[in-house]
Amino acid sequence: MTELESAVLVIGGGVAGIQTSLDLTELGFKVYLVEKAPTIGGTMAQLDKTFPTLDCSLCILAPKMVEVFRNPNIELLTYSQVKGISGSAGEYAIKVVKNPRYIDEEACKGCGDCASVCPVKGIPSDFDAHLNSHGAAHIPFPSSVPPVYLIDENKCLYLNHGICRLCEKSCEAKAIDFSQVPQEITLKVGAIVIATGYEQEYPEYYTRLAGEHPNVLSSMQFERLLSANGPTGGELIRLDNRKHPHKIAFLQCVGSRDFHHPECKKYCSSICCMSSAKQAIVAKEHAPDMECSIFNTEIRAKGKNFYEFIVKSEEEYGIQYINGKVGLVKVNPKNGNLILYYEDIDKNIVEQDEYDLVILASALFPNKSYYELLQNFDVEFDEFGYINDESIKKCEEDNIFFTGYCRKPKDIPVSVAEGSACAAKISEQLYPVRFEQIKDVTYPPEIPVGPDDEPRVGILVCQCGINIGGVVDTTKVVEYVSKLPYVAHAEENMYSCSSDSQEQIKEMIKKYDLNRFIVASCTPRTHEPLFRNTLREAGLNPFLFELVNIRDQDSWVHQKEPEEATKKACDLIRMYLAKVVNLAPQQKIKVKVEKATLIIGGGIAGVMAANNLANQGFKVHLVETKSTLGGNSLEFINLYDLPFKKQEIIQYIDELNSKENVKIHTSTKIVGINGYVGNYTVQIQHISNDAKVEEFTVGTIIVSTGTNQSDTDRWSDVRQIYRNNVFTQREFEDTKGADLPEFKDATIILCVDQRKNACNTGENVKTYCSNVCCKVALKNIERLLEINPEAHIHVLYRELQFSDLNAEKLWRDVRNNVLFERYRSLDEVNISDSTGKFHINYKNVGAECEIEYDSDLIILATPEIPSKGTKELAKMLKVPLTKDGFFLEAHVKLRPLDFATDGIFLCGGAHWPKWIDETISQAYGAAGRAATLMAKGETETEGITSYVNQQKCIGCGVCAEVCPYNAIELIETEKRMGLYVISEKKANVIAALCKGCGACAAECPLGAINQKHFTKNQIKKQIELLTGIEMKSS
Amino acid sequence: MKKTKDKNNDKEDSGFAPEILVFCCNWCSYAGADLAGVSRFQYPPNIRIVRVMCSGRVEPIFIIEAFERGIDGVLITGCHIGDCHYITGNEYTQERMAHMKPLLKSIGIDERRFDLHWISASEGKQFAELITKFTENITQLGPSPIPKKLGKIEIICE
Repeated sequence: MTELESAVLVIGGGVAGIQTSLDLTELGFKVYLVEKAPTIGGTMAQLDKTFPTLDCSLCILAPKMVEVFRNPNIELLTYSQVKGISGSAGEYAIKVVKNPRYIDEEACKGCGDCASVCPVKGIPSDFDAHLNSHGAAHIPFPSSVPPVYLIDENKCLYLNHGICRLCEKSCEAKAIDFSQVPQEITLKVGAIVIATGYEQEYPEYYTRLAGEHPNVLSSMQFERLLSANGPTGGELIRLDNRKHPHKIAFLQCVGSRDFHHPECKKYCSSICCMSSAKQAIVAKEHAPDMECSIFNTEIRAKGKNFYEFIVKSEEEYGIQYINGKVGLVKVNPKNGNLILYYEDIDKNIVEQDEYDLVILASALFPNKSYYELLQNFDVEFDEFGYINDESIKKCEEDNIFFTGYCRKPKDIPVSVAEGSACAAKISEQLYPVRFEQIKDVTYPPEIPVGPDDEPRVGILVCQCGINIGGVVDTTKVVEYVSKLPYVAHAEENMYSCSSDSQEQIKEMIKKYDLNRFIVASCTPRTHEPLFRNTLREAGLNPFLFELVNIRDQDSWVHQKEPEEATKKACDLIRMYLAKVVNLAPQQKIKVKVEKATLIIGGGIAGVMAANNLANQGFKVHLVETKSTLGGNSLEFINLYDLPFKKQEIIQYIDELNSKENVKIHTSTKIVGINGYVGNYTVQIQHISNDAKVEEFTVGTIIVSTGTNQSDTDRWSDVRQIYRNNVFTQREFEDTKGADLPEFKDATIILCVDQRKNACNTGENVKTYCSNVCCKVALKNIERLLEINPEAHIHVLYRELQFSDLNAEKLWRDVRNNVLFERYRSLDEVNISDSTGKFHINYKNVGAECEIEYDSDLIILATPEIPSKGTKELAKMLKVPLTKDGFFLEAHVKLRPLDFATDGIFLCGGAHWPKWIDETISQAYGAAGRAATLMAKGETETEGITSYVNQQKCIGCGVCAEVCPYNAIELIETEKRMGLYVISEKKANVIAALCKGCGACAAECPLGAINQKHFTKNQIKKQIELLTGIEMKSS
Repeated sequence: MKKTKDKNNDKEDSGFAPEILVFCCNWCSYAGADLAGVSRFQYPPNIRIVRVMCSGRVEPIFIIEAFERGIDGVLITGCHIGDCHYITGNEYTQERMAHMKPLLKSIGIDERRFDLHWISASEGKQFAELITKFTENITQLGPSPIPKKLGKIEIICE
């Protein structure tokens, strides 16, 4: 066996790469994250909002970016490229070239002085999709990670003409370094992750779409235009006359799904329909009278509640969906408007209309920058330009993994889940060398600080170059705060965050015998962890610290009012000083995590998760109510369009059976789950009535309960007559070839009792789209044609959801032999008895007439629904469900596999109906997420938890009601009153579950519950000191 | 504009600078305030921000006490409904603060001196605009009818 390296190379710093990196370090591996851009964040950082929740994209991504930046076990190599891979699985040698920034990354404080003096202007900004420009000295965007500037070597006057050097003179931090040259680095890693994302470009060959016109924008350009940190500060304008637009057209499938053009991508990019719907809604929020039309071939909404998002955009926001392609875009020379000539398939007409802006949802394709690196690995690509399944399999055997859009078209949550899955798969390979290269930081023993110790506060006022010092008179501030009570020492300095300042702080603490500290500088959101860490290094409890924001919220926003800004700085420090003297040391509680997992549901998701965890060395309890494992996947006739066969699943189950650290409990139900992260007590019972209850302890739980298919009441009379000739898609799976009646005409009806618009009546109607039925229909067609190649097959559909790579192609192949017919509403589809056959009569969209025919056989695509018992399980786990009864994850975008409750994860159909490949990816991902807790064997809880004063508590329980994390329980306590012992209910905070929001403290009518570090008195004191201080006359 | 019973409306001209307390939640509105800074959106220097982890931490008594000490205006900001980092914290804020305006009115404080707004982490511009507007409104209302009290920095036993 080769020697294993305990480090991993991740190529690409987008959301997929970020998630993989963070999970890998938790699993005990060092990560080298290489990104060719000067910042991580990728495409997601450029987005304004994300669908379907309209979350601000950067707000949810930025904390993860900072987490990467601060993680001591991730070596971030931005503005760098991988140039070569040699060696073999377990011990790769990687050649990386780091491009010169001409600015010292360590020294740069991100103040931007270099950019403001740089005389070069007009370099198109990649971040703003060329709608904005910057100078030679620049930063991609304000929240770039690392927060470091760079100089464009092609445009810099000094580097090209030997003159200027203004930036060098302006930089107080002396960070400019024109002597930098490309640096070659060799890394040794055990595995490689490729997460290089996608690219989008305007298909030049579409000259008919007026692509050069300033009012014709790519979807990314429009995203930037909508964004509050975009080129117009979030003001939506036309770029030709800077006026507000009133009518916007979104053109879908530009350069994709167009078989007339050879250069066109032949697949569905999978995310554009949702993205355009989102953009249209956001545009509408900018100006409610905005008219938005989305010209589409077919709206594809693949994902959890995505279809409902489309419906919402139509019904609540009035977004207009026009089914048809735009043939020509012409510019109206009078007003610069764009005239669209298009077909409206629903209305069967050709129309023209005038718009202010045209947004092109051009095809997305994988970033190919890694292709040459893989030459030695004999990888092959499919006809769409993506690495093929066979090669992915081969690469995985070589410890090379792919995640994100570069692997296959997908959206953010699927990329995130896949990132976690990659980490889990790597952990399976490298677990023997876990934690070998992980840095464990040691701190000196903590100096005890008790309530009786007189506070001695040190204050450091930061000038941040001229960022603060140029507006706020820091000398005056130091003078003022020095006189305040309990301040033992105050001073100012140039950059409080620099590494030498950390030494200065430590010296101050020692020299003046300080027991509390205030830094007045930038924002605690980015810098509090740094200073807290410094305090720890100086032996002080990190919670005896406050960071006062006098830059982002003072000097930067009052640039013209230096006196007022100085006063504000003094006031703020005074207020926070009143808090600091009342702070108490806090400890993060360490909770032991039992290295065992309970997996609920033994379908393919449960089996794959169990396998992965067992291979990583953890104990697994797999509980399944049925008598066998494998779930739906083994009941299916075949696993259509998947790179593996049913036999492989059976093999996985056999392997699982033989593993010592896996305990399989079939025909078993769960009767009780209690505890919290790291320590759950599980009670199970065999389904035979009088079985004994068995109990065991686990650290984590994975829910993989899968889906079921519901039945329908529709057309029940006629279905009753020919009971053997009508099936739901699941029932059709159960039939063996011989069971099928003879047929000549067969009909598949899609969207039965699902998708709100399809069927407005009926009791069991689901508003959502199950996402999988269309592709299952393709599989059923194949089977029907195998049985009877002469059969006439009709597929009645509304919109075909073939957004994954192959489905589009499979459909194009199959439709030569099959009639795909579109209906508008299921209420317009009638089935009656026609002596021995079904008589079908429906209204056809497009032809706009009624069509009648007879059919021998009918297959109905009824909705996928959560498995039986989901509700009861959710109650037991105290986790939420969506309105449709599927499990609700912690965050639909960035935490798709986590529950808000720590230690519990989900995957597969329990999350949402999905195709098996995605289910398996989620299963690995959930296993990886669970392993991040178990690898270390302990987890830290929030230091800022709530606590109860039991004397004051009357046990009313309102605190428990408002707690979103179920962190408050009511416990029975005993109180002695003379001779009697009275039992009383009291609130108790389970610190391991508390996230420290403080909602309970605000709710308690008696002030019996309080939030550490944000106590009632601390906040009140801050408020009290706002107006000024009563100074004792000395 | 309706005349308020607050004294010294003419003080506006003689340079009345209101003192305003703003609560920001760590995850959205505080980040929005930071973004206003990063983007250099200027706003009046009258606000003093108190950071809490969640707007759901803010107790009604904090608002009452702030006015009792002569503070001229109080603003609570948090994540937009549905975006709360703590899932539902801001919904409780909304519920609790629904009664604040009538309560203030009943104790003789102009209800316009208090407000609750949602600011996301990307709404730097909106934050600056909100502060500008709120400061303008408070300036127009004039100084609080309650005389200012100075505070003491002292240790309190919890």
